[in-house]
Amino acid sequence: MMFGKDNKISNMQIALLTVHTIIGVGILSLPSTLAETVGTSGWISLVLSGIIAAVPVIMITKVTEKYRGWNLFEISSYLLGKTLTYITFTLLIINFIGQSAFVIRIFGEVIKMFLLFSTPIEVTIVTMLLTAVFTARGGIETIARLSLLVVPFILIPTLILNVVLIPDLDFTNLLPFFKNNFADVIKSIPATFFSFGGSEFLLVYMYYSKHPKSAMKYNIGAIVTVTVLYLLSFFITLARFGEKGLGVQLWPLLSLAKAIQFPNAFIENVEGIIMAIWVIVVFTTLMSAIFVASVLIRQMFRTEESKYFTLPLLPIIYFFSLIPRNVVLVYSYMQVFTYIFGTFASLIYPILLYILAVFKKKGEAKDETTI
Amino acid sequence: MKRQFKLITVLSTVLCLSVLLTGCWDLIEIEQYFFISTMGIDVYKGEAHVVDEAEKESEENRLTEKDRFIITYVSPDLRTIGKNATSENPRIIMASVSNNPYETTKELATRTNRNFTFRHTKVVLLGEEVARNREYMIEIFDNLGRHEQLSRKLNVLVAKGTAKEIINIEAPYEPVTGYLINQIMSKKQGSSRYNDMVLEEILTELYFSGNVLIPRAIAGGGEVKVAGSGIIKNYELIGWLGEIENISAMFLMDRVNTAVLNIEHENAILPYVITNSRTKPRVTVEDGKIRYTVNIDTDGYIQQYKIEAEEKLTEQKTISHIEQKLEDVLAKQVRSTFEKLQKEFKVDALGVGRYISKHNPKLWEEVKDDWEEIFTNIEFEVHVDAKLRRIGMTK
Amino acid sequence: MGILDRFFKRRKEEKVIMEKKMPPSNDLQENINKLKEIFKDCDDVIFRNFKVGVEQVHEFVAVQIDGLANKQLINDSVLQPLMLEVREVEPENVEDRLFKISKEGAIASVEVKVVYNFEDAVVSILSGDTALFIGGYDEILIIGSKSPPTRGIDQAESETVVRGPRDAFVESVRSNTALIRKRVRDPKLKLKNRQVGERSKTDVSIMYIEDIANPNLVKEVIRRIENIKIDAILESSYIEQLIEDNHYSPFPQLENTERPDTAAAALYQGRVVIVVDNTPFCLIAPATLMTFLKSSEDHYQRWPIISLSRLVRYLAVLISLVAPALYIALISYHPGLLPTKLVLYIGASRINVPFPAFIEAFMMELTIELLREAGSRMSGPIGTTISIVGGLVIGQAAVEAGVVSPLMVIVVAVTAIASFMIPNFGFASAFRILRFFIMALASVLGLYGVMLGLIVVATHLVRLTSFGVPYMSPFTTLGRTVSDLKDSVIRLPLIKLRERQKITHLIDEQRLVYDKHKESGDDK
Repeated sequence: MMFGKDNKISNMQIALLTVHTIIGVGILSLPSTLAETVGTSGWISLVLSGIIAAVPVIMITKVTEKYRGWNLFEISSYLLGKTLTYITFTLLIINFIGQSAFVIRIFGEVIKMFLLFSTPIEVTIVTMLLTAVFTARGGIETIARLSLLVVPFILIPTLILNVVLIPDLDFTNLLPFFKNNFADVIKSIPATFFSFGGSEFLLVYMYYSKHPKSAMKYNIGAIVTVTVLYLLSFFITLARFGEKGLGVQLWPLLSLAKAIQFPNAFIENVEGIIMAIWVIVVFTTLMSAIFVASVLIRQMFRTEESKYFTLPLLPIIYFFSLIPRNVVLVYSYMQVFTYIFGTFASLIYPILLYILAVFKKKGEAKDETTI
Repeated sequence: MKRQFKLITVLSTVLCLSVLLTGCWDLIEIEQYFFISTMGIDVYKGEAHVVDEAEKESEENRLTEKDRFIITYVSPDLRTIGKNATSENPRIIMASVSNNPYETTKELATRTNRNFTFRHTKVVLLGEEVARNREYMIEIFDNLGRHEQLSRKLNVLVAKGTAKEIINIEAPYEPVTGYLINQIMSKKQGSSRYNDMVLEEILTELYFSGNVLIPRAIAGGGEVKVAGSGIIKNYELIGWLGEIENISAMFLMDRVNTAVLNIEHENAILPYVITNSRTKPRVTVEDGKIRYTVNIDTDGYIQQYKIEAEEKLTEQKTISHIEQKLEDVLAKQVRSTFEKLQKEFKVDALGVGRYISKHNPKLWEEVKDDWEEIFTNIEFEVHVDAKLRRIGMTK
Repeated sequence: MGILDRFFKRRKEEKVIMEKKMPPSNDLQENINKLKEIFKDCDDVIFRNFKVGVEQVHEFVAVQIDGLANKQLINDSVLQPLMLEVREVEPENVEDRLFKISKEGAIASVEVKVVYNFEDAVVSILSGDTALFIGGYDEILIIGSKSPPTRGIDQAESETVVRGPRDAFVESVRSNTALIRKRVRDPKLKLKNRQVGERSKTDVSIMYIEDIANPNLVKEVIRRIENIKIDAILESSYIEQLIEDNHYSPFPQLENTERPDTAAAALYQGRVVIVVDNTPFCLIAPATLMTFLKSSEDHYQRWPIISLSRLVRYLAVLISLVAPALYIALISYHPGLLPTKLVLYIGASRINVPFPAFIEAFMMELTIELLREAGSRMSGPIGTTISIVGGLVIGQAAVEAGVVSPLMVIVVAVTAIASFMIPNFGFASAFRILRFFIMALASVLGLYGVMLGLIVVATHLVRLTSFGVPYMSPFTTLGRTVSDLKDSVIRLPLIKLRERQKITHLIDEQRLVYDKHKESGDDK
């Protein structure tokens, strides 16, 4: 167990990794989108999206548990056949590359605005990608351990800052809880759901689980955690800005950072701390995406090590990230992209696998495979 | 083969990274900055200023209409701070004519030797004429919300007169105008004679209805005074609330931290110092009319009475008496301010509509389109419960 | 491919010439001649010829090295009995059994063994033993007489404590193992001897407690040590660098200590201690980040002060890594992130400083490194004087001259102090190097560069293992090892630390048995 890499990680780490992956740049703009489209009952939309997002998670867990020891390529070939598997994998890889490109473009824009005004955005993107590639090369154990290591560094400052915020929050802004606009709520769910994008990463992570049988509660816990975090950020920004004010902000969490002031204390501008945490949050999303994409490529080409495929992804992601001309276009391209590829990866593919797995009565679990 | 691949990877990474050495694109040393503490915006009236031949543009080539503002910046002079002070002037005032602050920055760059940063801007002063112009106001406030460098806790004030007047005053308490005003408005246990709203709160109200009470700054007698409020209706300034009226307005908005009420008792004028105050509004509908009830609950103590008084302060009778008088006085003051806003200026700058939208959304749906009209006719009721808790050190 | 070829030409492996083992012959003179040839030009090898027996016919030769062997012992236990006392015995048929008698009955020494070839005899002689050649026999008797010059048990110089034992290891492996044995009086404390180094043949003792330590770990340690092929081991760090998991990392992966109580504590934790001759520093495997930030005193003082002390240590690690970089980033790139008053003050103090912040920072850091090296070359009062002179005077002068801003001096001084807080010198040095790396990143990309640098360092640390144990445990996994957290950043009272640290997957986990009923004294 100690010597040599056995490449298995615990369920808790998988769940944590999933939470880190999902919480990327979506958390920045989500409260504002909700306030604009739905208003104060946006939390209903969040809860419903969380429930809907839990469905493919359950399915993925069940499928990978049934075929534990099989990696995704094997499961997919078995259930869908080789050709379809190649096609779906390509779509998945495009999905991950697209998500990474989107995330890093938004990240670059935020950094350019707040920290590095004149530095070319290309430099910011390339350096971040290099770091993410460096980490992704380390394999699943590296990214799992890192995701646990950064938790206190994210959690503690966030908690402290939130506590400081509380006196300034006007909780009456949360009212009314139930606006009579159920139709709007339903309409907003697709957009909200895509902030939960990232659960499809579990398709790859579950292979590395030490105890796939007991993974279910951890994975559901991950979705619950993400939902709770989104709810918190929604409520806090709503309490702070009011419904109309929130709808106007592009990145409410960052505007919030500019409004925090420790009363009469030394620290005035906590923007710096928020920016530092933000770098870590985005980084965890990127390293997971690059890692998972490289694993899928490796499985398609049937080679030994996936780390060689991480570096070639860098220019591809870089290229895609710079396609949109401005911030507005980034968001609109992303919407279209997630409608096509995101739905496929997050919803269609897992559901498909699950249905097929249920019907194929045969399906023994292998214990150790190395491909 | 594997080793060669590794070497190529490493070399190419190093090459990529060495690109970083070519630029420290954002490296600006801290002493290169002017930390703008105040921004003042006034209307440009076309005063003569020297224009170079080369600068004269023909009418067709102008990109925008002619310059609208004089924008003034105040920055502390770093050379006066610290042990080895090399200069006596604590502050530097710069001004330029332009259409918006960004142009100003660029124009001033031709004359100043430092970079500007707005991250430590504390105060934005709007000249009275600027505030009375709706077009200007919607642009300026959009900028204040959109600009990523401006803190959302900065103070926005309307100047009675021009901003430049106020900026030109070098008050004895603090030479840099921005810090002076900011410290006046943010000190603890100040007074309710001034409105202590910050940018964030002002924006919240503006985004909702376009109506708000903005703090006011006045220049006079070599001092800068922050007192009273400007009444903003639909993004433009339509009137003022004086110092004393401001106290009532603060009560109505539940923003009182401390205030003093004077009442007469036994031919003496007693100051009632309010230590805590809470205002609870309520909205009810009676006979098709909206009734806005305000319950004010204050805690306070008496600071001064008179020696040889008939009614002693140690008797409950006296206390109740005084409390009764307080309640009447305060209720009267609050009512008069509210009616001034309601009947004279016809503007809901106190956030009544916002309150209804939160607590009684169904009602709000009905009235929101005609709220301006309806507001002028709503019933207003105020109940005050003033508690006299302490009487000082003597009996 | 031509250019790259040169990088890849494999260096010819140095062949170690294995000597054939040569057995001695029966002829004494031939043996002695052979030995004299081996030890040609070694003038400190003593050959003592003596004859034994009433008729003085049996020739014996004792060979030892002057200075390494205990002459008194040989006099009393070998020469005396053989030369004088044997004469008083009837020489009946003594010849056939001369060897046997000598070996078993005559020599009054504790250690006696037989070797059958010259190589082993030579090694023994060089270790300080005495070789006894008996005429007519082709076996060599080795009598233990090791008495190398060594200093007495002294105070530990590098790891001092306020409360705790003050004895420290010395340069003799046997004394050191004895110091450890004193603290672990358990027959389960096993000790395995090996000799490492082709020419130095340094004695290395591997110690572990059999029913606590993970047997796989022990096997792996022994295996790696046996696989070392080097000509000389001069210090335990040679062994450390040859058996560690990752040779390129700046972080040490084995702990080293001068103190026997630290070594004993490590043994009780199920770790393996490697004692090396000729150095007072012994190695402890495996090691993690947490172990490097502990000092032995941590368990001798009470828990609140130790918890505070630990927290400060972890903070010190962070400070020593990023403080100058943060200074550069905030001053040069993001003055907006500082509070207004501070910004104005710093700006004012930097008005006339000629250098940009990052040059200032690099200069000052370099100066501190110079001072450190100078201070450590000179020992005693000169060393401390240099440090003080350098620190105070140069710093003060630089500020007064206006070359450096005072805040920079403060930052650099605090960083230096923070790095001294780290108990293990090797570990602290890793941060010194990384500090420059992060400073460089901060000079180019400001706060963003600092964060990237931290992430890269964190990634490296997370991937590092020490004998298979992840370097960052228990901070990177929850689950089995979560109880290790009780003694990591803070320390809970001793009563609560019932289990041993689980990082090495030990066998015996229970350490402290606490019976609640007994404490309340219900005996009455």
